[in-house]
Amino acid sequence: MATVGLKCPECGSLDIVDDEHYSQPQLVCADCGAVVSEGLLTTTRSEETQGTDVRYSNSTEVDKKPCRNLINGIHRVRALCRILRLTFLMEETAETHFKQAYEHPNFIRVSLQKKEVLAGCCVLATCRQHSWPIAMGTICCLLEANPRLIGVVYQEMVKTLKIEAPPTSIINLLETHCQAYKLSPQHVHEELSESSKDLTKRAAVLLELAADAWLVTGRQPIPILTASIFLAWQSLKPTQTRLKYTLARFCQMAKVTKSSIAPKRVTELKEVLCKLGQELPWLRGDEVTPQTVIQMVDDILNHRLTLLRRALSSHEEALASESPDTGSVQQQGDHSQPSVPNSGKRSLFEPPSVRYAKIRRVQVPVVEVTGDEEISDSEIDSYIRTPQEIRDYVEAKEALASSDDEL
Amino acid sequence: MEQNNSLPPFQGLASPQGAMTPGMPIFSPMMPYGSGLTPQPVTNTNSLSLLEEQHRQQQQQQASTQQGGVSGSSGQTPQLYHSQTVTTTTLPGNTPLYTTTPLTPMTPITPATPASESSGIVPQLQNIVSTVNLGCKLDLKTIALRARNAEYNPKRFAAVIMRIREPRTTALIFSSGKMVCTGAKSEEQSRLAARKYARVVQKLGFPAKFLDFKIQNMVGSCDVKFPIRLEGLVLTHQQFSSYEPELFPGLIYRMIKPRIVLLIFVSGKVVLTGAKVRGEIYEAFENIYPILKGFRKTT
Repeated sequence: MATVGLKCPECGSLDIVDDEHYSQPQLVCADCGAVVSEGLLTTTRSEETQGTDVRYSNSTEVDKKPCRNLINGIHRVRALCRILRLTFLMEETAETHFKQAYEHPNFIRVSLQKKEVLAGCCVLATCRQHSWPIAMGTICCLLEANPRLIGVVYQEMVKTLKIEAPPTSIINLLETHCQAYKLSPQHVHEELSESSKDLTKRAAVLLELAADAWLVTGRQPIPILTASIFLAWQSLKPTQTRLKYTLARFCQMAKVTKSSIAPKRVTELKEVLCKLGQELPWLRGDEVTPQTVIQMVDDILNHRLTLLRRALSSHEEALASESPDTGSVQQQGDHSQPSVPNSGKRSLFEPPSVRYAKIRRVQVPVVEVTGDEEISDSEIDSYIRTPQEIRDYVEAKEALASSDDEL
Repeated sequence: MEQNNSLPPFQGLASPQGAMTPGMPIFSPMMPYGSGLTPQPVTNTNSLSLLEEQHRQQQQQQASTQQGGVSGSSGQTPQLYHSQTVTTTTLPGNTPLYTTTPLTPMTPITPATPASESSGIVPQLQNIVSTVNLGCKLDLKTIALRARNAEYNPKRFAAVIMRIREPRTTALIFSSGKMVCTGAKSEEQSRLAARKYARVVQKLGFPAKFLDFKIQNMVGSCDVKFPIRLEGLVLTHQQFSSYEPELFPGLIYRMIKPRIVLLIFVSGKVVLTGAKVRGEIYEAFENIYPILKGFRKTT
């Protein structure tokens, strides 16, 4: 029954129904078929899109014409691939991933922002599958998106599509990263210029050394790459001009964004180099400082295996001379758990998180409980307000509320 | 078809602005709140009501049928587990759920490691999350008004946050009568704390009961005392591990059996989470220890 009280003018029945003749709404008598009234034949565009009973996602339009956001997303994937100059095969793989992910129930209803990020994540996954070195930070920069969001979407996408995308090793990232540094003779003064090939080679060796010394694992890759390239540049031609350059100035010159973490990595790397430099026989035990070590980097890297062996043996000797004193102290240590010192501490290089371990909060000794003890009334009462307290609290709240109103 | 391999991959943006370390790790270990199927340990209780007594008996029956026949893994001696192992007093007349031998995982899935290979390190429990049903609707405003240790900000979160000093825990109390208790360091402490919260709510005038107490998640941590090569681990155990140094400094290892998530850090510290029973944490650690030993590298 469409409208109450409407009577068919032909037969007088009250059974009037809503019946649409194609797109024209009509009121028709169910008994005799007479058309009581009819609506407009044409509709406006907004009525067509918003006035429908069936949602777009449930209609057959979905199959005939793909969703606009999907098309935009595919365009975005293609654009990213072109910017990164990926191969045709990789572009196709990325598109396939994106289509699959987009239509998966996990992603079909997410926000538009996430869908944009999804395009970048598909490109990232494709690059990793084809061993094309690219950092997540690059995608973040290209999409101008939050790194956290990229991380979340990437993890979910990999899980949903069940693809295996091995992370790029840092050595592979180095060459890509090096290309960004504008240090050719046409960009900078001849004395400061360096060929990309030499720079990459030297930086790779430094990076390997850093990795051995536990400076790379668990840390952001880009700052350590910057640090190794900077030290490589300085050590390839350790003139006074180059040595005077700070990391910030170097980044400015090479037209690369500087980071706040890279200087710390430079310091750590120099420390490692000093430890090795100490073992150079022709120094005859002279002190090697971070300032003087750059000139020796060439020698250190050429003979690094020998120096490493010597450094390890001298470190062990130093420990051995110390340990008769500390050995007795160890035995008197706590017995609750055999406190073996972290073997990392005893070796020459250890991860910085071990060396500068955070001071732990004093552990409250665990009280053995059965879970079924009696709960004293007094203890519970201590958690309940007295009536006076409640009154005071209510008054205070009212006073605060009224003063807020006045303001 | 043109190949772009000869061209340098990408120029100009390899060191992007977004290269700063994120302020906080991007994802935290999963804390599943799913309805586990592992039966909960039976303990004697000062029941708050007859209903709970019946419920407890039901649980006992369930648990004893499942528990019968599980023998401890051969070769493990009591010293393997720290003295913190559960030692619930047995109910008179009932078969004790936990025997005097150390706690064993309910379903031994991996072959038992002989004692000579055991790590000697016991993960310490750091946090237990449990839920309980108080069995009656609650008026959160009244609770927030009349309890000293409660905070309630309905615009931010639709529950009262209550804290007690001993055991040091926090509870989220919802208006439906359900409660989540977090922060305890052992299962018994969690249960005791939940009972204290229920008692507080009772004293505030609500007919609170103590139904369906269940441990939802347990978090443990330990230190293997040697640095670990995470890059190597992610290459050999690709299907289980996820290591993204740009997002999080640790490696996330999702073990299938038992279903535990481990966070492994370069310093050798390991965090295990996602367990419903203590044994799962111990088992997961014993599974991962030989793998980690393989990636120990002494420079």
